[in-house]
Amino acid sequence: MNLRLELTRFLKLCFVLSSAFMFWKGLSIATNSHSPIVVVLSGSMEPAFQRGDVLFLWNRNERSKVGDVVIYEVQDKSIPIVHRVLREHHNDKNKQLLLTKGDNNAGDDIPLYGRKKIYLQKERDIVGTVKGYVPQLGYVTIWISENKYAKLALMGFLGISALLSNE
Amino acid sequence: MSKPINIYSIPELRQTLDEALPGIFSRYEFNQSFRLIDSQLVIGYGIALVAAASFLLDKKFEFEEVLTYQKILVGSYMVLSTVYWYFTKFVQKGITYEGVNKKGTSIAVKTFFENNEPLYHITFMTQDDFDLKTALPVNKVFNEHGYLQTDLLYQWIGQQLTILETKKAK
Repeated sequence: MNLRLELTRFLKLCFVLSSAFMFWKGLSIATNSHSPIVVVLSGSMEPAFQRGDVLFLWNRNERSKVGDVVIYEVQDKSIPIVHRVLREHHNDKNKQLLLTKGDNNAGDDIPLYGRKKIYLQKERDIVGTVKGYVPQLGYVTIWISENKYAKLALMGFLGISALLSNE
Repeated sequence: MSKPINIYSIPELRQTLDEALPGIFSRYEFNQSFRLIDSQLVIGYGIALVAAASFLLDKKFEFEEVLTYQKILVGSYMVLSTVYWYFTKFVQKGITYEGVNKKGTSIAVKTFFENNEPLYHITFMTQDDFDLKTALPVNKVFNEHGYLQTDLLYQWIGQQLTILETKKAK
């Protein structure tokens, strides 16, 4: 066994994984958002966004405007929610309170906030503002995460392609 | 004995031939120098370590808590990647083998394939800037079952080394 050869081959694998991760990390630092690309999971923003749309976020704006589509996370719930800003209140010290609502929902989001909260804090709860989107591209991830056979099929496909490819 | 390969696949040919070179040169009493490959591995695994550290921080902590460390890590990842790119492009320049023999003659070998052409382009470089550029048709050293005929490769390299010697003597 040639140690240097094995190390060089293993390094290629490391590069594939690390470049993907560091690209993600670099993007999240540039946009100041912990997940700069998200997939829409619910139909609550139809007809603006459908399930499976991929959204690109930006979180370097100081304040959100009424009408902005924002992604927020409520404490203790890890699922990000995509809704539109309905009302906002702010003071001079960069503190801003927001009320949101899904375009396709009958009422505003106060029941979603939980714990008797009646607003979101821009600094703490907002993950980012939607700046661009690609329709339907993310449906693959929904399909894979909600269907165990799809997961197996993907694993099988990756394994076979790794076995059959050169280098 | 080596494994048979698919002789219609350029990547497999390149890999097999490149991996055979150190053995051949050691038969001509060259000691392989690992300077370039070791530097490449050090920089490369440096990059992998930085990425691994960033990944672990990301798993263990919240985004806001470790943002400063992540900025440093992403910055150093970019710097190291640039260094790695510069090293492979301008320092290593496709050199696949480096060695010195007992007489103190050092040799560096660059190899490449053109797309879809079964010609193993190989450049022998000595320390006095004597370059010998030549190409080996791969059907001379692989048989039809895909086995590398190491002895034929050994003889062919030997001929090239003799040419290099005579060229140098002139």
